[in-house]
Amino acid sequence: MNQSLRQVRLFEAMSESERAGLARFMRERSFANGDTVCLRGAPGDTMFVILQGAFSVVVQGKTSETLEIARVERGEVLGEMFCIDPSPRPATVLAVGPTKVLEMGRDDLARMRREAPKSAAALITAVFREIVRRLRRVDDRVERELASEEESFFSDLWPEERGLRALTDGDVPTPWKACFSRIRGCA
Amino acid sequence: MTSEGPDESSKAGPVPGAYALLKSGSPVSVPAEAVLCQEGHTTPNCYFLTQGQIGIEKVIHGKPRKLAMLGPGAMVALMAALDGAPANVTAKALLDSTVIEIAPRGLTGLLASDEKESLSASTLLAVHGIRCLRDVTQKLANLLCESITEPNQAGHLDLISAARIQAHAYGWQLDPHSPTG
Repeated sequence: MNQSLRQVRLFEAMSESERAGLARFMRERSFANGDTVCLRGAPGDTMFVILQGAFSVVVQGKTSETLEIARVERGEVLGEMFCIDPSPRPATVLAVGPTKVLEMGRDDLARMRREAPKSAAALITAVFREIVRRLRRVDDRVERELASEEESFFSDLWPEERGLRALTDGDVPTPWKACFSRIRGCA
Repeated sequence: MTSEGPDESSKAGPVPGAYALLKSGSPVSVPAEAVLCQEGHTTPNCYFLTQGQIGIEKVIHGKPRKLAMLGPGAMVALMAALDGAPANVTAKALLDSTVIEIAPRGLTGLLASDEKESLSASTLLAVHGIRCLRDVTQKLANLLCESITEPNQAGHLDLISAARIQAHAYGWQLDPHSPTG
């Protein structure tokens, strides 16, 4: 488990002992292909580290079709903010192929704060720095748009025709659903 | 700017995390119009406003524009202080104000410490950072969608609204009583 955490970018600034401390409070979980990991709107207070397989983040398109708006691959983390600040899930997540993850919830983090405060501090700091990084990306993206004479925001924002059609063709999905994937690229 | 003595009254009321945040820096008085961070420049420090008012502004197409006003409890320039990149907005005092000036060492020390109070402080920052990011993301998504769907916008982004969202990333309003888990 410790070996797996070593390869996760979010945890790269943590020391070996901090990652070992973190691993104590995570548990392995497996999903079959197509399993629902979480539903849009459901309470969310856990994070997942993908060890094997992948997660597909999906929303409902205009004609009730399912649109994949992001994919979370091996070595990546989904939901790291939720175990610090629980919130309804903004999208549905499905397993792609047999998937194995490490899961950690808010209660696990609370326990880690009491029993392994060094690891808890390292995790919270890692997530905080990631949040700042994402805010900076939003900041930079808006800054480029303000500085540019051309309307560049959309040219690389929706290269998929499908996404654009979903936005402009009659029944518009909620802004949050429609823009999630590209905003996620910024944020 | 002038230095003042420690404020003992800040020990009562705010949760331990907020107090640890206050202790990580030094209280200073800033007169009205004093600039805390300047657009286009780096800033080593971030600021926690305890009294007064801070305005966030930006030059857009050659004109200075006011984007936001922040009151006591606001955390300013944290992003710029942490990543060392130039600020894309200017933050300045609108009134004679008091801030806790947090230098890089204070901030890094706060984040690295596993002391209970410091852990609460880093959680407080993380929670508010997360909420800021979610809010900024939602607002930007709404703005982008409006640009496409509103007939009179025809795909053009409302740049002032975008700048206001950007300003939000530079000034977080902390609630010192919010649970830190």
